[in-house]
Formats: sequence, C-alpha cells, structure tokens
Amino acid sequence: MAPPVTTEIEHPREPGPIRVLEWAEENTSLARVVAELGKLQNQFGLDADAVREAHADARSSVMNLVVVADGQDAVDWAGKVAETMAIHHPSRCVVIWRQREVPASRIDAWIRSYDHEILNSRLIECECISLRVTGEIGQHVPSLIQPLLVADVKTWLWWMGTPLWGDGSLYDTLGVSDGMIVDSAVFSRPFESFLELAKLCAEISETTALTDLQWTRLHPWREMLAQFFSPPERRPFLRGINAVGIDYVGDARGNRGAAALLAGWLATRLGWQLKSAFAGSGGVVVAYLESEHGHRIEVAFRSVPLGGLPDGEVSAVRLQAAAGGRTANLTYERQAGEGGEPSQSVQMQIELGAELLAQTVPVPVQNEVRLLEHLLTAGVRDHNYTASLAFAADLLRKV
Amino acid sequence: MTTTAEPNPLAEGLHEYRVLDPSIMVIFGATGDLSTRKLLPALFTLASQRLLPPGFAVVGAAKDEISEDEFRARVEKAIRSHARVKEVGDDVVRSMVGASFYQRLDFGDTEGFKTLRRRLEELDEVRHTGGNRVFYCATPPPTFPVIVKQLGQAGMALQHDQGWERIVIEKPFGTNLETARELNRQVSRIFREDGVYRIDHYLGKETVQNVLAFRFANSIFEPIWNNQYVDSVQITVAEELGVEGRGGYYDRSGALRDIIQNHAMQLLSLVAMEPPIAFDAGALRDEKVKVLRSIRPIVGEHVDHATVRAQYTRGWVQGQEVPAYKEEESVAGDSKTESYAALELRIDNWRWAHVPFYVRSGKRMPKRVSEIRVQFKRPPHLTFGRAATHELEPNAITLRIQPEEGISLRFGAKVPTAGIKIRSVNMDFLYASSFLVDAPDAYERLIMDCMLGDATLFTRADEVEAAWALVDPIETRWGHGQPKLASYAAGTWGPKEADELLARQGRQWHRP
Repeated sequence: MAPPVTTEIEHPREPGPIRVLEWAEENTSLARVVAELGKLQNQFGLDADAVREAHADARSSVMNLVVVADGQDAVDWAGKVAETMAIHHPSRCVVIWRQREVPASRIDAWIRSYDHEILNSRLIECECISLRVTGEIGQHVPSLIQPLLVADVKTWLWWMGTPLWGDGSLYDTLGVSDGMIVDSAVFSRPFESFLELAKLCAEISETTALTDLQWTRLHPWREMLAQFFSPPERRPFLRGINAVGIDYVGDARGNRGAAALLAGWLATRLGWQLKSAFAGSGGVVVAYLESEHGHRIEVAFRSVPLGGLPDGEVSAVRLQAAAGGRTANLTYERQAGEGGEPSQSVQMQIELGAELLAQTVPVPVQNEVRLLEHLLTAGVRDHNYTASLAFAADLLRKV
Repeated sequence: MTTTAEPNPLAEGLHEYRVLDPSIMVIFGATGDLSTRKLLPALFTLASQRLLPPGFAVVGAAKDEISEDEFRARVEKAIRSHARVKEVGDDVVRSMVGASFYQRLDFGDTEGFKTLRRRLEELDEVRHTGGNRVFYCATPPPTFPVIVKQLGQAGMALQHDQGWERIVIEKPFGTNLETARELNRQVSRIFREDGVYRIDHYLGKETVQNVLAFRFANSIFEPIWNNQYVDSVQITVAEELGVEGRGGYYDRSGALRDIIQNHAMQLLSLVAMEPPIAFDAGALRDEKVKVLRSIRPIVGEHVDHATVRAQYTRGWVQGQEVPAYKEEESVAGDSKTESYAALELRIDNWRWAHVPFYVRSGKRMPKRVSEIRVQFKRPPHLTFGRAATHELEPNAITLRIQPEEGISLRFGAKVPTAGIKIRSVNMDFLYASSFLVDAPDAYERLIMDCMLGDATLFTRADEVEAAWALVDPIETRWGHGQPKLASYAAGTWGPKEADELLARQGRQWHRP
C-alpha cells in the first residue's frame, strides 16, 4: 500500500494509555483470541482492584473500527491511529492483514489492550486486535471480525490503501459494517480507482455509508466558500458565478480526485449541469457547466507543486461572480510554509466592488486521526459526498 | 433589520456549520477582566475554528486612555494567556489582532458614542459588515442603563436603517424585582426584546443543555418524570471556593441573589418544564416561564419554615484551613449576608403537585459540584422482605452538571450470595467517556448564538422578573432577621438547619 499521509500522531490532549496488556500467538484460532481477550479484560479488573480501586470501563466503547491493512507497517500504523483516536472515541479496533500470496490457512494474532485515563481518574478500556491471516481464511473476513466486535455499537470499516475493487471479500466485509472509509489520496492508479469508488458508491445499499478522507480534507474549503455567501445580500452572487479555479498539489496530471470532488460539490449544490470538459498539459482540466437559468460557468483545475502536502490535496480555490452590477472575486490560497512544511492557514482575499478584504483563516493540515475523528463526529453518511462523487467521476470520465 | 433569503445551498450538510452574518462586536469595558479572560479568548477560539464570518471585527470601548496599538497588544496577550485553543499559528493570532480596534469612551459622553457610531460605519465599508452590530456590556451593572440610553441617543439602535443590532447584558440583571423591571423598561425603549440577550453563562454549558436532551430525546424517562413516581428533587450548586476577591460584591448579594435566583432557577425550570414544542427561543422560554410562575411563592412566616440561610465559619476545605466568611477581604465584620441558602419549593401544577424541590447553594463546601437529583418513590411492596432490602435505597437519577458531567441511575441488584440480599448499585454514564471531545466554552456557544440571532439560551425579560418575584419576599423576610442566620463550618455540606429542613419530611440531602 501507499505510505500513510502523515507519519506522526499528535493530539492536544494525548494522555496515552495508563496500562497496557498484550498477548500474541502465532498459528492460533479465533476461539483462542476471543478467550484471551476476555482474560485480558478480567486482568484489567483484578489489577484495578488491587492497585487503583478503579475498574476500567470496557462497556463505554462507542464503535468498532475494522481496518483492512496490507503489510506490517500498515498494521502498526492502524494500531497507532486507533489507540490515539480511542482517547476521543473509545473503541475496539480489529486490524486484518491478509497475506493472500501464502496458500496455507493460518491465523497469527496480537492483542493490545490498554486503558485511557479520562476525567477524574476514570478509566476507559480499549483494545486493538490484529490478525494476520493466510490462505482461504482470508476470503472470509466477516467470520473473523464478527466474534470480535463490541455488540450494539456502529462498526466502521477503514480500508487502508486501495480497496480490492470487484473482490467478493470487499462486499462481504461491507455487509457486516455500517460504513466504509477510504482515502482516495493514497489510491494507486488514482484515476481508475476513483471511478471504481464512484461505482461502488452507486452499487452499495442505501443503509451503508461510504466516505473518503479526501472529502473530509475538503471540509474547510467548502465551509469557507459557503460562509462567503451566508449574508442574504450576497446570495444573488451564487447565481452569478462565472468561473471557478481549483489548484491541487502534484506534477502533471497527478491525483485530481479532490479537485473534482470540490467541483462536484459546487455543481450539485448549485444545480449546474456538466456540458463539456477538456484536459490540457500540466494537469489542466477545463470544464464548462450550465446553471438551471442557462448561465455558463467555467471550472478549471491545475496541478501546482507545494511542499509538505500530499499529492492531490487542494491548495487554492478562486471564484468570480457578478450580480446586480456588482462583482465579487474570492481567493483562498494555502501558501508554502517554512522549511518545506505546509502552512497551517489559508490566505483569504475578498474583493467586493472596490473594497478588498484580506484575512488569514486557520486551516490546519490534518492527519488521519483528526480526519477520522471529524468523520465519526459528523457522521459518515453524507449524501452531499455521494452526489459530488458521482458528478466528479462523470467529469473525470470526460477528460 | 434582517433580510430574509433562500437558504444558502452551500451550507447544507456542513458539519456544525452555522450561518453567521458578518458583523462588528463592540465590547464595552473591553479592557476589563471579563473581556480579557472570557470574551476575547472565546472570540479567538471561534476564529480559530473558522466559525467567525469573514470581515468580523471587534471594537473595544472603554475609559482607558490607551492607543489602538496598546489595545491590540492586550488582545494578543488575552488570546495567548486564556484561549482554549493553543495550537494555532501566529498568522491567525495576527489576523485576529488586526481585526481588533479601540475607541476610548466615557459612557456618560454622548459625543463619544456618536464618534463610535462613525467609526463603526467606516469599518462597515472596509470590512463588509453590513451594519450588523453586537453590543456587549462587559461592564458593572450600574452602567447598563447608561450604555443603553447612549446607544439610543447616538442612533445606534432601532433607528438603524440597515443590518441588525443586538445587545448582550451580563447578569445580575437587576438586584430585585423592581430594579429588574426598571432595567427592562429602559432597555425596551431602545432595543426590541428579540435584540436583547441577557446572558447567564450557565445556560451555555453543554451539560445544562444535556438536561433537555436527556429528558426530551429519550422516551423512557418522561413517563416517570412526574409526581406518580418522583418523591422529590434536589438541586445542588456548591462551590469549594470562598468569595475570592469579590467580597465587596458578594456581601451585597449573597447566595440567594448570586446563584439561586439565576443558575439554580434555570436548572429547576429545565428539569421541571413541560416538553417545548421546539428547541427555539420562544417555545423553550415559554415553558421555563410557566414553571417559574407555577412555583408557590414563599412569603411571610412561611419563609421561616421553607428556607435556610447560613454563613460559613472557619474550617478546612480540601486540606487547607480557610477563614470564616466574616474574615474574608472586603466582607463586613458584622455581615448578615448568607453564603449558603436552601429552599424548599413547591410547583403547583399537575405534574409536580406534592413533590418538593429542594434547592441549595453555598460557598466553601467540600467540593465544587452542580447536580440535579431526582429521587423516586419506594416500591409499593417489598417482595424480598425488609431484611433482604434494608440496604436498598429508592431509585434515583442524578444529572451531574459539573464537574463529572454525566448521569447516574441508582437501582437495586441482588448481592451474589447464596440467599437473597438486595443492595443499591449505581449505573454511571460519563459524557467524557462517550464524547471525549472538547466541549465549547459557554461563552463561545453564547456569543455565537447571539451573532446568529438565536436567543434560546438567553434569559427573557419575563423569566428574569418571574425569578425575582420568587426571591424578593424571601429577601425581605431575611432582611428582617427571619429565620435566624445559621452557620456551618467551611468544608461541610451546610448547617444542621438545612438537614432539619428535609428531616422534618423524612428525607435527607444527598451527598454529591
């Protein structure tokens, strides 16, 4: 799989586990794993009685996070993300690493059980269970994860890297999950994978949510654009948008998924129809759209180099609009930070008539922990995403 | 003036996105403690979360002879010292500081207000704020009517031909019913009621709002939330602190006016109200006012039996010896002001007839705690016999507001022994364990609500007056020395007279 976007977990309130109990066994059975999980929980209770007179509360989990990883590094990374995220979302994490190239069926398992201290010394117990499976067992992921799930809470499937499009195990695993999270920023063969993602999204049940960390990265951009149009007197500009420019990080064509999603969001929210689209050199895409009133809008993407940000991430949005004899020009642009690091803010310029307002808007670059937290707090199911994805795929297919 | 328009299609589906109009907030008393410790940091936290609209500006207005640069330096210091969000880059701090302006202002000077008006109009031009104003009175209560009157004379309210204007007034809103009514009259001459935001920061607390969520987002509790099942309700607002440098103010106020008239009455109305038809300013506040008006007034000699007032004497709180109330700085040596008050209230409506509401608040108690305890009636028949259940206490639901925000349910469970023995156990729910996110500070929430024009969590004029109408007769009787001022050692849960208040009816205070 592609390397994680961010390699450091940081959090303003990161107390870390108070106690950690671990168990590992190669060539084991799932029944053993379930039994050992119970023993670790009991051990926590016994230790707590003797030492702290406080039981860790294992029943406060708010979700199960099932991670499909591909390799030891990804397993380790998933465990770290889950452990950090458990500070805010007490959860059970089950990481599955399928070594499909090994024919013999076998399960190797690790359990890391830990508790976090929250307010006033209250302890919350969380676990991360990692399974490396080989052979045919790997084709039956639901049978592996279901006995390990905490009952009666949501189960999210986080498919790291590129999902196995068209593979039956993907659909089976989705079937026992409430939703799936992917990150289109790290897809291999981004164009084809993006189209597969749109196809999957259209196929799966209405009750299963599907979302993309890249969509969550777009949230601040959507928020800033929406905010400009909030005052009622600026609402007419929405019907007078003439041009939208989106910069994304990369060389040449790169990963245009995020830029297309952002364009898709504007188009679907504002009722624009895609008329034509063309690709030029250097990752340039120009699309022509039409509003329901017959107004023509030009949407252009281009790739720009910007250190410290992953390929495909949106780095600037420009928008021109006119209404009632007035013009509005908006620019939101993330500039290069110091020492090759991305800036944690965006420079906003609003030109409304003759007046120019410049302001710095905080838009921190977010790691997976923050992105997942945002998703899980906001709710994974997002019809705006589904509509934007369908539009974006349609646009990319045309160029 | 508010322009109505179609919903913003880009706003739909954005998590926690709330539409704020560009506006200018004028903070009267901007160099004071409230502004420095709470308002400016709260505004910065909102800015750092991109919750303030583009162009938003703060104009500090105060008597201090300082330059705009000096004010900006104070803004930066306030942000860096007190903001909840610490991890934001210098460029964002600079941007917020750059959106801060200062106008020296003597609140008695009409010309000064006219100068302020011109300054705001200039800022409207360059910051596209459209004439929208929030006037925040972070000043001592006696200045409220002065500021309101000056705003009116300077044409900064009602006469305004574009945008909207709102005024935020801090508690205490009056010192009794008469002064509250007079202040309401003065404010209503200049501002419409829907532009007046009387702030009681208690209502901005997440956990106070959770009282409503607990009651009205669940179907299993409401059927038992009445006199058929509830034996009594206890509301405790306790502090371990003393007067902490506020002796002069507190000694004129006391626990009844400082806490019970506002915070405790808010909790009582939330726990006792009927379900509002919507979570909006009109419906919610209508129901709260109905509760306050249903409370049986405590007047005359009844005050002696239904209330307790007390002062703390020397004692030990959290391992430290602390002085008596009368030994506190700025407190008169012969003070008769209560640092503790307890009331037994009755709500005369169908839901709560015959259910006592015990409300208490005090300083220098063993710990800081705010909670509502709903005690249920005993089972009608003891199936397991008296011996098996002698350790069994009645069911209770405790809504903890602070510090361990959560909900506890107490119920009976069989002790795992050979025979039958039932004991009370607690099932605890901690908000922190399920929602481990940093909840917004009360001021952040309330400032944002005000800018949105949502007055749901602010106190309405009739609500303030209804609360004062309950408190005034008690104050009057207490002013005549009845009942006698009791005492309690600092670090205890109050005087024995308060225990007796409940004991007379076969009840006792819950130990938080």
